Amino acid sequence: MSEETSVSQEQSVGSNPRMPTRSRRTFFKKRRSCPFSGPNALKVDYKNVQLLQKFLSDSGKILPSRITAVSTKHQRHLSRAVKHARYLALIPYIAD
Amino acid sequence: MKQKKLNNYELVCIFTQDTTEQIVRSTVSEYTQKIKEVGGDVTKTEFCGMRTFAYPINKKKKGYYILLNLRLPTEFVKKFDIFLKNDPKVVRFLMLRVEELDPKPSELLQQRHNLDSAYKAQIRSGKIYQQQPEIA
Repeated sequence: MSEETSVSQEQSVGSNPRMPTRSRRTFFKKRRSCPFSGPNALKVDYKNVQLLQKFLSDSGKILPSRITAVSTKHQRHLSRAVKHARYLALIPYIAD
Repeated sequence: MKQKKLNNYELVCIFTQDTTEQIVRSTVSEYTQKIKEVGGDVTKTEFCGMRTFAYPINKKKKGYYILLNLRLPTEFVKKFDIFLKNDPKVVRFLMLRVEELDPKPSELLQQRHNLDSAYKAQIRSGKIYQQQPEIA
């Protein structure tokens, strides 16, 4: 008897689309995705100073990927690009 | 003649602020000639103009930036590297091997002329770039 009632409850919940099936998880953080992955994504380029500057702190350090949401692979490319740009004096090693 | 193996390279070169644009242009055409002699090719040449350094290099504050897209035979790369190192006009350079050469104007050139909308439109319409890459 108890099994039957539980089944009927689930069906009633499922039939009403406006009713949340789970009360938890109604609000959740929107996850940002990597700006360099996916279709028409940005390209990591050491010559694009304006782009690189978005991933640097005010003092010229590379921001951690947990803040910028860059994937591990592209963070690697990014750090190499920053170092090339620094060598060419496009961006400073230390900004004051 | 035996077919040489060619690789794609991207060269950013900084000339001293003491040179004039004419000298820079003539040296670049010299390089181009040199490359073509050994069987390489220059697919794109960009004169990105005088630019202020982010930090002083050899006590100088400015430099003249150029960008070349090259196709070089592998054995010539090291020679060209030494050649650039010994050129007193060249402050600094970076030659990287790339998978594909980008025929479009680089960000380095675009950002320089960001304020000059007329120049930007010219770049877009392709008036400034007559050179097209022969091999994709």
